[in-house]
Amino acid sequence: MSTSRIFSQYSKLPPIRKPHNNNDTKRLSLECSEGQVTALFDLYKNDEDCIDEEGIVKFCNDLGVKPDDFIVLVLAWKFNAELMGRFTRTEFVSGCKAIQAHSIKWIQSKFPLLLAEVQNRQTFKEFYRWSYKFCLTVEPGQRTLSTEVAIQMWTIVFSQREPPILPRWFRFLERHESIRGIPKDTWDMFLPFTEQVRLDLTNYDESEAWPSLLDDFVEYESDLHNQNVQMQE
Amino acid sequence: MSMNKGKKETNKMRIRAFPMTMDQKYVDNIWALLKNAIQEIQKKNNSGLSFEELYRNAYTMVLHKHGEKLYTGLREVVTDHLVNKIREDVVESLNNNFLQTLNSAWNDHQTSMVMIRDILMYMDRVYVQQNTVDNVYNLGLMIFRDQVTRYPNIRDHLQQTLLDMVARERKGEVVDRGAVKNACQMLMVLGIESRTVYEEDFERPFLDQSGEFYRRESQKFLEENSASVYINKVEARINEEAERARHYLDNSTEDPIVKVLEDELISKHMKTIVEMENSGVVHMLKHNKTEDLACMYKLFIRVPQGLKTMCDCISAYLREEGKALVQDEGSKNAITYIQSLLDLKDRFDHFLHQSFSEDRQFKQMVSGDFEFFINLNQKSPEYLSLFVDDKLKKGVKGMSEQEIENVLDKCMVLFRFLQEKDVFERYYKQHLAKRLLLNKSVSDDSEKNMISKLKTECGCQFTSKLEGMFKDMTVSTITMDEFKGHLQTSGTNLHGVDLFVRVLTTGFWPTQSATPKCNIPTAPRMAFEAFRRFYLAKHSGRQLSLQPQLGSADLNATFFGTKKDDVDASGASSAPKGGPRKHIIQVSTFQMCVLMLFNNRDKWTYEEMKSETDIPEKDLMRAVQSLALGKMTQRILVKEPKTKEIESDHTLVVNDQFTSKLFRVKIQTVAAKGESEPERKETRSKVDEDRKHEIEAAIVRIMKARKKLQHNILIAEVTEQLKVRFLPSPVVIKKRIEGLIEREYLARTPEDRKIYTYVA
Repeated sequence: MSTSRIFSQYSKLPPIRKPHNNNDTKRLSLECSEGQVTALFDLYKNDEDCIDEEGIVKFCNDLGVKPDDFIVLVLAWKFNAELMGRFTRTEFVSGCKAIQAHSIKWIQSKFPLLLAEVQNRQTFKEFYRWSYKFCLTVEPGQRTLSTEVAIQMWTIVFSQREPPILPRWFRFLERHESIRGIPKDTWDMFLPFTEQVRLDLTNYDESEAWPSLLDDFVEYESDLHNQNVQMQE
Repeated sequence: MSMNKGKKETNKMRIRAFPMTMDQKYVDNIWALLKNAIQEIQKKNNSGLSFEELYRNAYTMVLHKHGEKLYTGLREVVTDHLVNKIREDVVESLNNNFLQTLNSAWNDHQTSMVMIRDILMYMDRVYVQQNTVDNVYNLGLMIFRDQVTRYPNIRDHLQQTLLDMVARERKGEVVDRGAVKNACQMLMVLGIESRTVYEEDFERPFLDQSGEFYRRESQKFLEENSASVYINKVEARINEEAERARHYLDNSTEDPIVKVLEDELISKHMKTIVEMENSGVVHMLKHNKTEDLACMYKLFIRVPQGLKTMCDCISAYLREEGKALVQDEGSKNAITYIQSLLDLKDRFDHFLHQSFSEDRQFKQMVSGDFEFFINLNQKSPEYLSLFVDDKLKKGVKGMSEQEIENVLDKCMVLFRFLQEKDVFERYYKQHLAKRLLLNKSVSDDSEKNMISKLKTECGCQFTSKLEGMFKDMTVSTITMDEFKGHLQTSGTNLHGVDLFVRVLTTGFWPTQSATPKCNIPTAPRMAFEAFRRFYLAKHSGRQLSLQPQLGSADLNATFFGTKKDDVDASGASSAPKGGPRKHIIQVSTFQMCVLMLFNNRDKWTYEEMKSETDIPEKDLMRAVQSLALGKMTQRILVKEPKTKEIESDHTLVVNDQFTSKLFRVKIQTVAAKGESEPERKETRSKVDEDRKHEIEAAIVRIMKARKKLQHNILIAEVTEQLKVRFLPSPVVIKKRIEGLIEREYLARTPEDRKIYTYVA
């Protein structure tokens, strides 16, 4: 997914207003938004005073995004959502306050800001690690993410800035059915792997305590490479 | 002396100074006297001279400050004599008696110089000291050296003569050793405070020539193409040269000349000798040439890398032999396998002792090699256990207790080489259990002895369970006594079954994967139930389960048929002679179940047996095979058709023709060749399971103590801790670490993913 596609949807966004250093306005806008936020929540809530999956679909629709879009995940993170596919009242309300938005249009206007925020390396790292735990919550009691779901998550999470190694990583996972899911440690360590190891994998050092699945991946890639070299020769 | 008229003389004493001046003529006279004396001495005409007079004259000269004249004069006289007389003589004798002439000239010179020195001793002590010139004797030496010995003609000829003589002696001729010795001594002395003269004029060219000579010798020796001959010749030559140096060269030459030989004869050809076809080290090892090896060892130890060259060659050979032994599939059973390894070790221990004086480098090499190839075969631990099992069983033929002890000690040596000691332990437990339960141990003492050996090697962890096994045996005996008492008092009837039960504590004994099923026939089953009631009454809360794969039974058997020999020639059998034959048959539990079927029915198919007894296929097959397909004296059952395989529809009947010389017949079960492949796989997977736990336990233990540790260091520590049992690979350890991270025992530190912390 390229960034241009995300941004193209928002070409008609209203201009971002600079924050006025005016206490009154602030207080006013706060009070206004509290009420509006609650009202917004009520639009999507269900009988149990929660926004469930159905509600989220509607919410996304109104926002002009798909539920599996990157920005939605970022929103969930900003909202501190506990479970995937659900926003509680508290999460929604304090979340909206946190991003200082009280309406669909306002939320939409915050998208570029959020995307920029998550580009910061440290922030992205926290977001990235959080995503794993968040994704696990789909099935309670599950400890490890299945490979299939992990690939989907990686696709979403890296949609803004895809590490070049990603397709080869996916190919490796898909070709090895014996891999029984992705443990948290492997997920976590994949990010520094993309940052530190070169695309040709030449600076990979097995003795550097990488998870063993990454060892297997590098070995697999190097075998492939040798085969290709032999064939070319 | 004039008198002083008119003056009175004072009483003072005045010491009149010695007349300081001596007129020139007087001095010249003294010198002439001395010069003459010196010349007489040089002509060996000293008998008419007065030592005292000459000494006094010399003294006088020096006292009056004419030491220089004396010294110079001395030098002239000596030089003159040596140049004009002595040297001439020597030069003349160049081709005729040269050494003798030179030698006697030297001796004469020494003698005369001593005398001259004695006369001029005052000059030595005073003039020489004050003017730091050479003393009289040394002066004489120097003049002799420069004017005679080092006179070009003489010098060269001397060198040539000496070298010639050495060369001739090396060829085997007899030469005048005394002459050479004298010459060498002369050269040594002429060096005054050093050995430079000897070195330059003789030793260096001598060493060069020797180097040349031995270079050629080595080629000659090599042409003989026999390492043994070569090294013996080298040894002889070294001894010869050393002795030569000691006897008639100078002692100090011994080391350098030996070094030349070592260089030319050994260092330069080490590898060639060691690797020589059909005579080198390998040949010597193959043909047990301990003396040759010892000789080679003593030679090669002299040169750097000598022993290493030998070691490398021996190691390669040993590894080849060892590899061949362990990789020889098919023909070996466990006993011969281990025995051949023990024999190989004995062979090399013998070499170590006889040829290599227990050299540490060689010992380490042998150990390293054994460790290398014994672990090439994964079955080594199992086979070693079977071998020990064989020695601890009853009926070990022809070995005294001491011999068995020795063999077991040697087995421990092999044990130390095993990398997978935990596999050995597992098999040892299994085999020990069998021995105890089937009552096959030679003695409790030898068992306990072996266990203490293992304890010394492996620690208590291993042996504690084994000791538990012994305890169970003792307790069972007591329990049985109590049971017997109980039977009497309660009057319980066991239906003619004489029962003996051993109760095994589950944790101590090796477990099967699952207790095999088995339908026990009524009588024994009831008897066992009686015991079970008795036991559980005593120990409520426990569970007893019968283990049919262990255990044995003695059956009373009656055979009604004729003996085979009684069938007469026509083939028809005559009336049974001698009545039915009774025997007691000793069988396993499974076999008992099979045989007791024939109390109900005469004929059974294999399939029927299977469904009636419910015994697992593998065990039933083995049981029936031993009963129906063994030797004639073991054949209790007869199978139709008489093939070697047992199929489901084959029928079995009792062999009424059965005979045996023994009343009590023991039916052997098919011999334990070690495990079958599936059994082995199962054992191995159990071992792997255990190892996973042991690795994790080690990781947790280490991390708990260290709190924070780097990845590589952790791997190293875990390997170190576990290596007495097995060698874990870093990959496996890493996977265990990941498992522990997953279960939140460990975590990576945020700053550095290569460092782990312990999560309390």
